[in-house]
Amino acid sequence: MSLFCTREWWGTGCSRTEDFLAGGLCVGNFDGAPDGQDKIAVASLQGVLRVYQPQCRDARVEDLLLELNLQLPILQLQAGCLFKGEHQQLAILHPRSLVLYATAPSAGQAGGLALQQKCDFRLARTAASMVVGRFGETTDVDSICVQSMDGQLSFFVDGACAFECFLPGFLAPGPLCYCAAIDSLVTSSSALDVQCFRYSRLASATHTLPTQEQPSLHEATGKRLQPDWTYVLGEAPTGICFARFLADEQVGHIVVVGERSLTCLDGHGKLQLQKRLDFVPVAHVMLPAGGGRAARLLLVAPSGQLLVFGGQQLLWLAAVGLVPCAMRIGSFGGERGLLVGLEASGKLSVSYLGTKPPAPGPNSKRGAEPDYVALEAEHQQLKAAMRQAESCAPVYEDGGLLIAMQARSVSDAEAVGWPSGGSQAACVGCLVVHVLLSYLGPGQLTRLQLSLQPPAGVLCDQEIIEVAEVKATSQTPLLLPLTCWATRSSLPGSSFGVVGVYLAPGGRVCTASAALRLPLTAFCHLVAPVHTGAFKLTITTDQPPHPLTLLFADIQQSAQVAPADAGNAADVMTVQYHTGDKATLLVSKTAGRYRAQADSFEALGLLLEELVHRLNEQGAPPGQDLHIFFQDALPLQDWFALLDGHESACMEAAASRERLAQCAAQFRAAQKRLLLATADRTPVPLLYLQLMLHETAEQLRSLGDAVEASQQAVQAAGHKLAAGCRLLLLLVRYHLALPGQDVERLASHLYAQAIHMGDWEEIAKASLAHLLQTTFSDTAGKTGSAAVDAHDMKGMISFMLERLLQGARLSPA
Amino acid sequence: MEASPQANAVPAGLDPVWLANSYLTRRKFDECITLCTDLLRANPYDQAVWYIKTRALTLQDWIDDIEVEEEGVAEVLLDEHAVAKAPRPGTSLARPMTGAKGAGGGPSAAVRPMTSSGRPLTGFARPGTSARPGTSARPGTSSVEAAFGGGRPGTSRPVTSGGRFVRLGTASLNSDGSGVFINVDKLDLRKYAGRPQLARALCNYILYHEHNPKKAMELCAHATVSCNYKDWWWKAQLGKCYYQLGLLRDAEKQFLSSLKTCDIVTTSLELAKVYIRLDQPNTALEVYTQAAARHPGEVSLLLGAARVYDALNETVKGVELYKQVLQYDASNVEAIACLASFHFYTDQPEIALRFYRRLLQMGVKNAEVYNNLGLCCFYASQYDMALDCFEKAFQLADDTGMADVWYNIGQIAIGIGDLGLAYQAFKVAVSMDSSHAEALTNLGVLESRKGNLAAARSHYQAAQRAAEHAYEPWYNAALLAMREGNLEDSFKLVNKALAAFPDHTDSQELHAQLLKQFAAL
Repeated sequence: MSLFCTREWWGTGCSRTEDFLAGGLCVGNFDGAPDGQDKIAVASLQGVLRVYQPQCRDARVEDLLLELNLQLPILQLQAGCLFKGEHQQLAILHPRSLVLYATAPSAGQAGGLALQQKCDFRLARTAASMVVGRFGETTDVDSICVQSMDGQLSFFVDGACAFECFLPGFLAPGPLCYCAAIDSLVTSSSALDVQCFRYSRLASATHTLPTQEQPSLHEATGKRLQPDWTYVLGEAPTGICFARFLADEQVGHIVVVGERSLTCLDGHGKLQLQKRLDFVPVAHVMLPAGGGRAARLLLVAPSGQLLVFGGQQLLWLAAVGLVPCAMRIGSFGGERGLLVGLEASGKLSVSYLGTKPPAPGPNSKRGAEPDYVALEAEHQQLKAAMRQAESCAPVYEDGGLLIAMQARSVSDAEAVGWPSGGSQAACVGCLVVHVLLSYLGPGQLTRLQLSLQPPAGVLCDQEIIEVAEVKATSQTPLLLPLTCWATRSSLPGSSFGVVGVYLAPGGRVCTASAALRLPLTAFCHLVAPVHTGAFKLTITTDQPPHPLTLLFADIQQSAQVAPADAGNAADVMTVQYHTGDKATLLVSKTAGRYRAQADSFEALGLLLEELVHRLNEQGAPPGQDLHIFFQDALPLQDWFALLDGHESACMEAAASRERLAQCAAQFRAAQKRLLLATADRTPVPLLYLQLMLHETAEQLRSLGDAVEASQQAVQAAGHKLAAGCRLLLLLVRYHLALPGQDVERLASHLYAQAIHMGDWEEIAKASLAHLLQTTFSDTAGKTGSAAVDAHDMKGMISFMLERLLQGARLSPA
Repeated sequence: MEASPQANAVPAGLDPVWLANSYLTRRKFDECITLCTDLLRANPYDQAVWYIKTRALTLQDWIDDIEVEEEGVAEVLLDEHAVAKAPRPGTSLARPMTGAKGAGGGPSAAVRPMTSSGRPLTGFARPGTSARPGTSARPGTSSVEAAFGGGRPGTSRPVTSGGRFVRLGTASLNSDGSGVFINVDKLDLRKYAGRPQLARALCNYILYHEHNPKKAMELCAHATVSCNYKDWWWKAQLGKCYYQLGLLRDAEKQFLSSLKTCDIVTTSLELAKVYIRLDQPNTALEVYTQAAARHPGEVSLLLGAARVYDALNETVKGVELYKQVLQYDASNVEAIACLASFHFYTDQPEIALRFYRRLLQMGVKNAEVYNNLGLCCFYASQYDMALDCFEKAFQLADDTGMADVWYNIGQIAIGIGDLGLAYQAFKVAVSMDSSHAEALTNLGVLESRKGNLAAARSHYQAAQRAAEHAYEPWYNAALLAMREGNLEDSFKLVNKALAAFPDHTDSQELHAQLLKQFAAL
């Protein structure tokens, strides 16, 4: 609703069953009351006349002064001083009669009115409309002019019919207006124009025409009646008023309210003002000029807006509640300038222009603080729903495949079988590993490829397992059995890794991995304790020592050694690997010290790893942490010995390959010469050539065997070196108390897994050099690159360990 | 609200002709036509009743043809007027961006959304003026497609010749209960031309109800002759017939002659319409300004001139005229809306806020006003009001408006930094209107921020297809292609961006950069 509107001062409903037209509203003091208050007369098409006098705000029953059914349809209602010397009377136009009434206080009803019929004129022709005015410049009495449906104008003055005349070129009745200043009647003809007839001319053109059979065009006979002027409007006017509309010297203007425009003409038919309207006015009323200002025209648009025009300008715009069909202006209850509006539905209202401040709407929720927690929860919920609905991406970020592994060593190796590789003799003991696949996401995943990474010393029958698809299951996972054998060829590593690559339902490629710690029992068995050993390493803990029967219960239980030879199993334990190495573990009786002894450096690795793992599993009493230290000096020399061994084995292998190549060249040369000699025409003794060929072949065979042997030696040295690396890293970790991820970084730089590749040395040297140059930081900010010879592995390792000992730490990556 | 009263019985004793006339004046056309048909059945030669019925039928179908300007397919394809093939800058409506820069420019395309014909979106939706397929400058195929496209997004109902008018020839079959009321072909127009009372009503009937400008032209010609060329109305009607028939030069002659006889505002408006149709906006402006000088305070002339300035992309001059309009008519919705959008796009949201508040006070409450209010509040830093206004806009919006409201919510979300909300809002906007180019472009920008370059590229392509005139999708796609290393594509795209908006500095820089790279190759 608009802010500016009309506010109702008084309102009532006249009737719901009657039709009200624009001519049925009249405001004036037609009972001549001395206080000069206006009354409202409302007439319906059904013939009911009502007179109201609003006296104060809000209608009361007493405001209805008169309600009378005149039994004839009322076309129009006008008030005026119709008789000389009397106050205002009502003139009511019926289709075939014009009746003039005077009002007097009613005898029966206090404050009411009664009608007294003064005159009743029978009309020969059906009436269309009427207009009241002081025609002919009379000063004391109003005359009535009635327009008939066929163009006859009848004039009634002072209770008598004065004369009649016919409008020229008449087809259908249009609006009629009397302009006092120019003493003319202004009307519109069906030719969409405005015609002005002077009253004197009308009076002198009186004649009666023989009525024609057809109410068609009338030709004026005798003295032709012609309009004073005609103005082609171009559209049919809905109303004509006369007022001093523009601020100029004219005494008044003819304001024509057209269908789409507002036109203002002066008394001579000259155009003064045109204004285009973008609506069709349904009602209009002219507020007469007064108090120094020009007249104002009020128009009502069908959209429910009341526009007030003053000359060129739109002065005011207000929204009316219901669109009236007739409007007048009157003063009631002491208030002047109230708008009276009659709607076609019968509602009569008296209103004024005002404003209604907007009511505060139902904003109850504004008051309370919004519940942010609930809002946030709802927000998250909505976001989750949106994410899920938006793509079929599974809930799991990583694809949803879980791989788990279980190991079981099988004592009866015969039942399981041997690897197909043929190295049956090298395999001892058998291990069955179950790979359990469970997929938790939606749909199913396809093209799963599991690649197995058995540790050193473990042989697996398959390297890659392909699974076509894995459905989502919630109960039992998919089981893939693997068989592995421990080999005699090298000391075993402990971690069996599996990496799976697959396609998730959305088309993404995902990976999953798992690692399994293989049990120690697969790789070694208990033997009689050996108390000597060339290499010794001691681990210290801050907890009281655990007996070995507790820590290594599984090994001791699976032992095949007679209990008598076990010795003090709680303190001493010796295990023998499949390679034949033995390693011993001793526990000190008082402090938490464990010593590992073996004849070779690398054999200590697995045992110590296992010990540390089991110690950590055993844990500490609640409230304390288990700390493991290695307080001796790091056995770098032993490790360097392994390194040297590996290097020499490599060089030996390279040398034997070189020799083989030379021998092969020699063999080829001999072959060629033999061929040439055979092909030669002149016979030549070939004996020495054939001899050379045989011997070279023999040499080739033996050198080939040597190359094979050297390769195996390289492999063995590599295994030992790898084991040594692991051991070294373990010791470094507990010697320097490095955090786990630093150790992993060191391990990844050392890259012990690649020892079996040909160029491990170069890779490791380069990565260690990079590590030294980039990640080591000390307070001085030097990276120490100048002091490091990048070509010497031993030098780099010792330098690094020195720096670590001094307190430098790997800066975060 | 009271229930509408049931139809009351017509009281006895009432003259039926008077009643028919009364229905006519009360604009109850159906009752009037029914009553007149009955009366004419009784007495077929009753001219008064015939006259009333004619007027009723005319008024029923009457539309204000000074405002409606839908150009149908036929006008686009068959327009044979000798329009200058290479109009001078600033003189053609088909090439609006060539006007004088600087003072006449107004906010550039970088800040103000453009319509498909390359002029800025005005604040007021008028029929036909938002997409004007040019006659010569724009390539023919795109304008025909635009004419087929229709105004609303996603519709493809073609506007036939004559715009909203019913196709010629079928209006006479319009059932008014008694078959054909007036068989225009059988009328002796010369006879009727001599009877002014019937002639004018008949002329209006033929023009507005029968939509037969040829017949109306004959009648007008006869009538003009019979009144010795002294009647302005017949000349104006003749001009209107020529205009509807497409004989624009003849229409211009008639309107000028009518203006010489009697200076009526509607004639000036129709004359200006002719000039606009002839793609001579400066002449139309002259007509408007001269008529406005003669009729000070006539709002429609000022509005017409302001619209032409907007169409020529001289928004500053248009704004002056809108201010004058408001002096005379403080409630003119078009002027208020255009001023408000001008102030908004020139970084004065508080002033725009006042204008939109005025619209609300006047009682204009629809989704568009609330949407604009929300944006003004946001940019004027009244954040508490902004979201309330958008909520109101949601309640009132229909499908076409909803997409824009969601798009603006997305813009506000970007302004406050909530890119998640912005993403969702743009997605909703696109779901409501799949050819909303701005929302698609912004979605593309957000996707490229998230790193989904393929999705970004596809969004830009969709935006380019939806709105060829907008430079943003072309520029963004060019930038994306350049980042990916696809210099060839990037060059093509940046050229298209420059064609849409030649003053875009970023596009120009990108263009220069690409040229350097190509030269280095």
